[in-house]
Amino acid sequence: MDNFDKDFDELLKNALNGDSDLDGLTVDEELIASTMKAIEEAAPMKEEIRASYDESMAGATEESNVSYALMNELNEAPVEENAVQPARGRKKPFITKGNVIAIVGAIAGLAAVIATFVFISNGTLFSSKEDTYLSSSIERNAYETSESATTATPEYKVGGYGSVTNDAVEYEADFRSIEDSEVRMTAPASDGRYYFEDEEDYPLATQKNASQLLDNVFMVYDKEYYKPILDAVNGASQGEPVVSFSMYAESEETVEASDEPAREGTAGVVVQGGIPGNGGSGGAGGMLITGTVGAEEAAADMQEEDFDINDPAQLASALAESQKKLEETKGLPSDDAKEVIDSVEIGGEMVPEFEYDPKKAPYWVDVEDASDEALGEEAALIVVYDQDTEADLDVCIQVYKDKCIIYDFAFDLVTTYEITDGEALAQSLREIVSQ
Amino acid sequence: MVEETENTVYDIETLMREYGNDVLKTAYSFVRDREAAKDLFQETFIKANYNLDKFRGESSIKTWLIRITVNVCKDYLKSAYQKKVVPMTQVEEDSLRVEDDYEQIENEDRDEQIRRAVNSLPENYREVVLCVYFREMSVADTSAALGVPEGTIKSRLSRAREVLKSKLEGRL
Repeated sequence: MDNFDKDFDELLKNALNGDSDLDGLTVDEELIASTMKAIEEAAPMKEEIRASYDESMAGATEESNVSYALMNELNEAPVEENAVQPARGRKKPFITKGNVIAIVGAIAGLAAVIATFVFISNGTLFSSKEDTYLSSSIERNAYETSESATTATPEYKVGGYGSVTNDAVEYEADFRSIEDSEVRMTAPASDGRYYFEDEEDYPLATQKNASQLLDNVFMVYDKEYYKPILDAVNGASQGEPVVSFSMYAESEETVEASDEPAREGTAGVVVQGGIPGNGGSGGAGGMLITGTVGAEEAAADMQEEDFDINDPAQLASALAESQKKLEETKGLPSDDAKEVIDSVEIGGEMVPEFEYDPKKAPYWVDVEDASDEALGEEAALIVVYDQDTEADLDVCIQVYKDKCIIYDFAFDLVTTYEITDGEALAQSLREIVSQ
Repeated sequence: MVEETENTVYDIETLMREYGNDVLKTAYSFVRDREAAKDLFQETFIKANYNLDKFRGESSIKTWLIRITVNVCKDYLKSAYQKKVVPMTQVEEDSLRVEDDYEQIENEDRDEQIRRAVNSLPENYREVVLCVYFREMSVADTSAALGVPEGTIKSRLSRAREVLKSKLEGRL
């Protein structure tokens, strides 16, 4: 296997390019002629072809781009006092600009359930292990069908969970329906891994429902942990949580972060809040963190320093810069916004898979990468709910001495809970995920 | 190579002649069927022809074409019918082996195992491996073609290598 280890790239290239089935597979005049003819014959369907292109390109666009396009659309909707988190859908970008509201409606059940479950935590929607997102007890919400969603005015309510029935939503052809969102098999497959029943793309890394990455970092795969975790956070919460949302939101409130995290070495995080007070989140979610004066000043001094992904202030600054770039490009990624930087040193070790550039700003932070690479080393506790290998339905929970911050990367929201005893909450969370 | 400038007006036939083999082989790498690959080749250029005005120049025209190809292939693979009938790669077996060919046969077997391992990867990993190793695209071009951040491309490449290694380590 020495050759395999050392020459893997060459082996791979040669194997893929040496496929004998490729022999003779070239473009010839016949293929060109038939294709030109096909193009001509397809002329009457030009508009359909263009629409299909738009959909597929939007589907291939990275998650953040979708989120920003969605934010722009949703921000135009009125935000009522009683507002639920509007359906945001999966981070997999199946949303086109033109069909944003339709997609929002189409995935309302999943998005509303998850989003409100996270940010309008107010009870016990899922009361048993048998409950699923498709529970028959769930009510229909405003976004029932893509058709109605195109014209429906978002209705928001606070304090409850969004809902959908099995037949309440329609999806794009390449959109994963709620029915496909069932959690893993109840028993491991022959290779010892757990797979989602619908796709093999989502193997769970271990046979356990929660794996401990570091002393204080847990990767939680089982959705069933999520509610107890949220309940624990809500139980420790003092007052209403503050939710940050779209960077395009007109009404914003800055929440100064505490300078006393539970663990040393963790700088405060500045979160730009949204509509506070009622526990609900209005409008569309955006990037999680916006820089404040403190973070921006710090960022200005940090350009020449090594970037530390574990430093929330640096992270906030970089993300704020990324937001600015996205705003400049009307939500579409620019080359600069998409670039990533040199490798990051975390805990004294270089992280090759996760590169970050404070100068150029990341377009998106892949929480999967971050969580894999000791993201939580500097924080009291991070529990990362990671359903698959993409930043899809990913939630990161960071506990400090006097606050708990929940980052929902799926819906681009961060919620800050004021708590009195971070260590106690951290211990509660450890006990939950260790079960 | 088609010279690309800010004011380049693309001719679909020229693009077909210049980049058609890349499109065709990319399609084949995804669907593993020659005829299907040709159909998808046509579909790619049909889409390209009627959407040339949407090419923003943020990537090369080749990357844009590959991106369309990837999307077309993914749609093809997702269709229920194709899930049932996608042909498996046929392995030709030589009944006659001679000692002199042993090394070559061994290498061919190894390569076939590698290809099967790649084909068995989850879609997101497989497409990255195919773009980088088969089409020999840069990370930047792969990022543009797949619409995924470069950091994620690198991450997926790294993980794909780990998965392939674990699949193949005991067999090679």
